[in-house]
Amino acid sequence: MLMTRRLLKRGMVMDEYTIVTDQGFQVDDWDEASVLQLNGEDDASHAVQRLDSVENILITFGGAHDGRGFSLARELREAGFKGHIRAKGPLVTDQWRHLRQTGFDSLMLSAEQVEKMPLHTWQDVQNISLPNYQHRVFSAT
Amino acid sequence: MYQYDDFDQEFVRARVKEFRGQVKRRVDGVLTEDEFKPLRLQNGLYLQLHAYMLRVAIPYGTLNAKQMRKLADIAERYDRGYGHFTTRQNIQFNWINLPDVPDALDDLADVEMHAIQTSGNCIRNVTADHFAGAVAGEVEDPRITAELMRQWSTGHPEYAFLPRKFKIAVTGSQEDRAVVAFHDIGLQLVRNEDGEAGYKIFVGGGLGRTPRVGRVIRAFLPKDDLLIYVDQILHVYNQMGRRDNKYKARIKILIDEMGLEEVKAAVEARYEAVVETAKRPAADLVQRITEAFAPPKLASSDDLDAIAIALEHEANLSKGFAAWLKQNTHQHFDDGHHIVSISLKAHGATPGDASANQMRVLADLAERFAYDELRVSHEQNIILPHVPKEHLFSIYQDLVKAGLATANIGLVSDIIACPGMDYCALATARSIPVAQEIASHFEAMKIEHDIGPLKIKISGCINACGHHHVGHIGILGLDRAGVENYQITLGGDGSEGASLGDRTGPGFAGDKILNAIEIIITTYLNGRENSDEHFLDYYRRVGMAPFKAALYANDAKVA
Repeated sequence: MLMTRRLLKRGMVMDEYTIVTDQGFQVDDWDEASVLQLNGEDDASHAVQRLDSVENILITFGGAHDGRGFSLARELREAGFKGHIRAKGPLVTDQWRHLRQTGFDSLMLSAEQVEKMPLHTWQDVQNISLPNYQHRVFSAT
Repeated sequence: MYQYDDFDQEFVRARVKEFRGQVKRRVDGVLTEDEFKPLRLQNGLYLQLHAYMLRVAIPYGTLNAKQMRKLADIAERYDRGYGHFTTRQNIQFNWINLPDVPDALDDLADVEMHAIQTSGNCIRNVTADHFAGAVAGEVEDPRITAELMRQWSTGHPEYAFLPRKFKIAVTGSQEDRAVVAFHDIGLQLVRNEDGEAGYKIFVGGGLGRTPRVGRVIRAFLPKDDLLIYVDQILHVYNQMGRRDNKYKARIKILIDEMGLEEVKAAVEARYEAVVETAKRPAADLVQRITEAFAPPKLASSDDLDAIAIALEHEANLSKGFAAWLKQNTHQHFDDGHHIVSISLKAHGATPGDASANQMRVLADLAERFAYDELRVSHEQNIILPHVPKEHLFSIYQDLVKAGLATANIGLVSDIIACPGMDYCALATARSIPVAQEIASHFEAMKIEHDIGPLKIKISGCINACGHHHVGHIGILGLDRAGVENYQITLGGDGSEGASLGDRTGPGFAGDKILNAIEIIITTYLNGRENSDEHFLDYYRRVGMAPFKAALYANDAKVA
């Protein structure tokens, strides 16, 4: 959190992209060459064949109500992908839970999105701990 | 009945807290209506013609007296003193203020209720046979499956932004009272040749503007594999369903366009890949759910003959009771009990509406006489699933006082109608006044018992919330250049005989619709072999021709 505040003070959130993680905002430090870029609607079976040489995956959502990216991330995780999966697109804070639970690690925000949804709005949703039924159903005690 | 544990309670409270924050952001202007919309929809809140409407989930239509009383309190505190029971076994409050909604949701959470996923492009409230656990011959109580599905689908991270809404229904019987062939997924509990329980799975059924009878995607699935298989159907649909046109986004259209075999191949390939290794639902949870739906400890009836004689005596005393006993009760698996259907279709009333006082009467009856259990049927009536026969007359007398003793279950006045233009922003015509007019008319003629089983279903627009496609007589209200016009279909069937109705021909103006229905019924009465040949049987024997001839006799264009 300290790091986030420091970044905010330096005004670095106004960089082109800001990354949301469980730890707050971070700067975008990915080297694009190492990233496999996919769209939510892409066929997972094609993507899965390219996973061997990939460390990072960026999945772009077509719209806030287009849930295909969630299914794609799930399939990549099912196929054994252990690297970092990041989302990009017009998503809102209330979808953070869906991202994390389908296999995403982070979300990339434009400056415009950051202005509309500053850090505390992400912390608000991260602080609501909604019990996970899907986990409970398969491992109740 | 299933009781919430700490987990369920914590989830519901957390959702209310989350939604309270979202409502505050909306009221403060931080969220625009467009941004707020998907958030409120996943909490059952619609913006209707005149006000916000809150749709409260009644999972698989089952509730107890305490819950029914809470619905009565909410109707009085936040609404205008009544609620509307729906074809998806839910209840809607039509006049609710946005700032009150979080408080209403907190009140609901006090009695283990909520409005989660009653709307939005997600897996909706799972429905089940309203006679579940009370009829003879079930493979298993379908609510065990429905509750497991409820838990698995609640807050599902992958399936909250599907191409379109997704509805699932379950039946445990051969007789289909849950309309399983007209849901995105319909589940029927069956046994295979070895006597093992499992599911027959229908997919791609639905009504709306593109009505489809569901197709069998799996004739038999082992019981333990249900969530694995349903998960694959949803996953394939989420990835492949159309998103370019909301009217072509349901899974039925995917099946139309891709073909059942191809959709099935995609689902089965994923299923085969994981079936060996995938986790099954935890045994202790399944056991807890199964035990929760064990029938109540039924009072034993020592002398069934004496009870039968007493009932006959009471029926001789009261013609009203005799009619109600014949029409509104159904055989229970135990000879000492009946299943009682309480009609919310008093002649001339709004189908499915109940006042707060009526809800309290229903709650009291359930508590005093019927093991504290009530059901909401998709036909918008209330069921007492387990009633000792010796209490039937007492129950009837209390229902009479509350205006709830209409003896019309399954008859011409037991009409399903959507809210129509009186409430709904999508409607193109009124449906409630049409239902009221038809019910009052045949009541005045005193012939509805003679007409016999006949299901009329009315929708006020092509979205078909009133299930008109599966009405023996279906009525669809449209707007023709600013004038209400009603199309009629005949021969629809939402039960195990699943079929879609056929259009009679051109529609009828609002002031001609009653006359048209009367002509149809007269044609049937004059043509049937005897009173055992019900309307649907007659239609299936003779077809459309005699109805068409009678309806359009004076219309040269059609003749």
